[in-house]
Amino acid sequence: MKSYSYVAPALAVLLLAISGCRSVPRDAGFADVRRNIEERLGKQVHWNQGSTDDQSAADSVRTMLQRELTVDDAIQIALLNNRGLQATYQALGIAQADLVQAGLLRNPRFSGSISPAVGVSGTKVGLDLVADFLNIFSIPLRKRAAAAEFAAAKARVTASVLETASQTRLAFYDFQAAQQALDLWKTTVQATNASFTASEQMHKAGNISQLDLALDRALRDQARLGMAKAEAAVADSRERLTGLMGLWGKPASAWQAAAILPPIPAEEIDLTDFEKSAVTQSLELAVSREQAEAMARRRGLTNLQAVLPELETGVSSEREEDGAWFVGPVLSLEIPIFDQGQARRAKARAEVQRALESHAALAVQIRSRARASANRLLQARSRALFLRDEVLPLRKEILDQTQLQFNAMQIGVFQLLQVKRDQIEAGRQYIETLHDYWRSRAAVELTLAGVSPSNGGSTALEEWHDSGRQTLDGKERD
Amino acid sequence: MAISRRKLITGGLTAAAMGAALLKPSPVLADGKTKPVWAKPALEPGEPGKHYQPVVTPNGATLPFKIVGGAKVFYLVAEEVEHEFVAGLKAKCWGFNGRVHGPTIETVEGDHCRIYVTNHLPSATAIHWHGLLIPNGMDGIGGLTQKPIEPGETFLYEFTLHQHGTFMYHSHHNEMVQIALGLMGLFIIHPREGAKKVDRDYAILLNEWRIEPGASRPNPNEMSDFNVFTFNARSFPGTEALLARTGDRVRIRIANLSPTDHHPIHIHGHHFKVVSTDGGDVPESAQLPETTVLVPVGSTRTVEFVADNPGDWFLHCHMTHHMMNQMGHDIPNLIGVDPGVLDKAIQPLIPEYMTMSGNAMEGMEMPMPPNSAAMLLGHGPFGAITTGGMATVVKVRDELAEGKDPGWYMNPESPADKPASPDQLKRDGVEPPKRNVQPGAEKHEH
Repeated sequence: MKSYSYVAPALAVLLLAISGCRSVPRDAGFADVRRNIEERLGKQVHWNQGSTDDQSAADSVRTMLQRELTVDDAIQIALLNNRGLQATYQALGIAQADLVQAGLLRNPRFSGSISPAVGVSGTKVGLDLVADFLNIFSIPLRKRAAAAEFAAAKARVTASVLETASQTRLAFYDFQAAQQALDLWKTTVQATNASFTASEQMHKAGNISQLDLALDRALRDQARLGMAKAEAAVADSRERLTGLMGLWGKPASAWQAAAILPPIPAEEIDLTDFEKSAVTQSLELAVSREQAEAMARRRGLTNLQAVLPELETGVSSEREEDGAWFVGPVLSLEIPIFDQGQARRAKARAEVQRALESHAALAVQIRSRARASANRLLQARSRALFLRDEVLPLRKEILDQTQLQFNAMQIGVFQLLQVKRDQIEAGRQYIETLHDYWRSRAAVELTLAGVSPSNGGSTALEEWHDSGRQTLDGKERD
Repeated sequence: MAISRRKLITGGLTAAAMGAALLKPSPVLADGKTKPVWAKPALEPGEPGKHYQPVVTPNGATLPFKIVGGAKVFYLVAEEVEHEFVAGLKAKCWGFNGRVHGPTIETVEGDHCRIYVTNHLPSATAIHWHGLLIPNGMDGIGGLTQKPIEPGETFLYEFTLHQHGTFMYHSHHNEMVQIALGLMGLFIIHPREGAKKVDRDYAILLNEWRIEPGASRPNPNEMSDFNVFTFNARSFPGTEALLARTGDRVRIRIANLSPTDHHPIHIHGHHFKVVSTDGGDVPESAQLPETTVLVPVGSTRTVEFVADNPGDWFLHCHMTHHMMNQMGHDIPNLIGVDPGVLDKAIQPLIPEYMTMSGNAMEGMEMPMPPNSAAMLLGHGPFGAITTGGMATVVKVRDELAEGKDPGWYMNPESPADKPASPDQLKRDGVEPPKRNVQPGAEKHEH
């Protein structure tokens, strides 16, 4: 007997109405990241998603590569061209999808069976349609948790961009410093070559022994080794910068950059309230905060689920062998006898506490790092200025006075060349200290932009993650 | 400065006794017969022109004296003096009465001398009279014969001279430092009678010093590597010429108070005889004929000769390093090395560099450390004279205006002042062989 109830179609319509056709926006909050980067760094970023803008981004990279790169050029190229960053942007898509997922109702389940009788005629047909309606109550909590995680993902992506920019900046300074060091080594080699030339000529004239000649040759060889190492350092740092800028093939070998480090700027970065700025600007703290928020929402979810058991309702219909349909509602209910969710609730509470403590610990670490960065910057500055204003002019004076003593035949050509080499060594010390200064300054600038670098280069957030508390995308490790 | 006290040195006689010595017979010694020479009665103070022809100390001065009650009174003030060794080299030395070395004390045998010494040095001193036969208490050895003269104090040295010759006075307290800083002078005693007449009588005191180029104080710690060598505290070309008219009998008294080195003093164009030492006159038959007299440390040698060869004649220490001004000894040997090769290798690094390959002319245009005389050359009528240090010129002229330097000698025929002419070579059958051009032989430019 065909007696359908009108319940089934009505339910179907209702379900469709509730679900809606939710699609995931492609932008995925990248506009926020772009704005953030422009505020904190003053640079452009672009997510290659197959639009016409991809080409203009590629064009501006190509245009910049034509000229001698400044550090800002290199950073801008890296931000537009680094494929690793492009991969990172997908985290936004992932988080965005999670956000949408959180708002979706669980699909109803349809099950059916056809069982022909064995030995006799007739077929049993069973059709069920059930759905979990109670999850509708957990949607707001889930959505708020996912929203917090989405915000965390945006902060994390922004931090990745800042880190890439900072690494590019450091690599650029490394490259310049390596080139300057190589230049000085070339001069040192010139000086030891000259010293050896003098020895060679003296030996040819019969004025010195073979031992003296050999000793001067050893000196020259040492200098050549030093220069070779310096050449390797230049190639190394060039490759690192090339990789960060996302270049390969011909553009990789073609780009040119200014060969010397910039001088110490007259004005130092304003470091008043630096520690406070480090905390307020910190993207890592933002991530940590959002994740604690998400954790709290999940705890609420757990608590809710402890109270609301799993419940499925639906419609069940069965057709007996004789053709009679039996249609009626069906209910499936979890009965919390053994597991009342007490363990899950306790776990959730502990996890929220842990997130809060970790956040506090992170803040302390960020403050400490900020103080250390500021110190290092000021120390490097004062050392570099001392070298520039006291040591280098003194070395010049020593060379000048040595030249006078040489003219007066009090000392010989070897001593004069040694003093020249000492002057070059002081120059090398200055370049190293200038390099230190710019590296320290990059660390301070990165902190002000919102990421706290450690001395070893990893950020506070990375280290915290590495200690195993959370996966990088915010999910708990099970 | 008023004399604070008149202190008589122990071991000798009191002032009264000294005064008494002028009138009473002198003390008799153990054997009852001999007396020290200083015990003989004094004679009237000798006066220049009347009793002796004064000695000329080139670049120096003679200490003036007063005659008080039959005694010759001299006054020496020992003090720090800024002294010029040669143009461009000045140093803070220790001298007397504003001079380095101290002024020459000139006396006559038989003079009774009173020499007051005021100490304006930063440390204690004592003055010894080298070669003088005087009472032990006047000998001037700090700690042995007297307490040292402290800064600010004035001591009196008093004795009668009964000897003649060329002697010195110098510090004998902390000698290593004080002699190295220049605290010395000449002490001449003319014979009372029978003095041999000479037309020119010069006295030169030899010394050696260590002054770093650019420094302005001698280093008394130097024992063997001296770099400034002086006649009367001056180095060539800063030494005054010794003038003589052709035919003059010339006497040159040479005293050596160098810390370490003896000096063989050589004359050009003449032979001399060594006529006396600081021990006395050499009998004529024993006078050694020389062109070079070796003057040991702590000795004097007096030579005499007739200036019969007109011209400009070098008088110098024959040790080659003593004829250099502030020569450095730690430099590499670049003889035979092509300077152009080194210039090319080094000038890109140090633009001011120019190879110094051992040619004394090389330093002429180069900037020098301030206050130094290294590479300083004299200039003569034929160009630069590559000499410094212990050297001077004896100028013998037919015509000589007294006291005025006659300028350079212009030989009417100077056979060796230009290359030999082809006629001369041909006449004597001399054919100079072809020469390999040695590196370093040519002058080189930046």
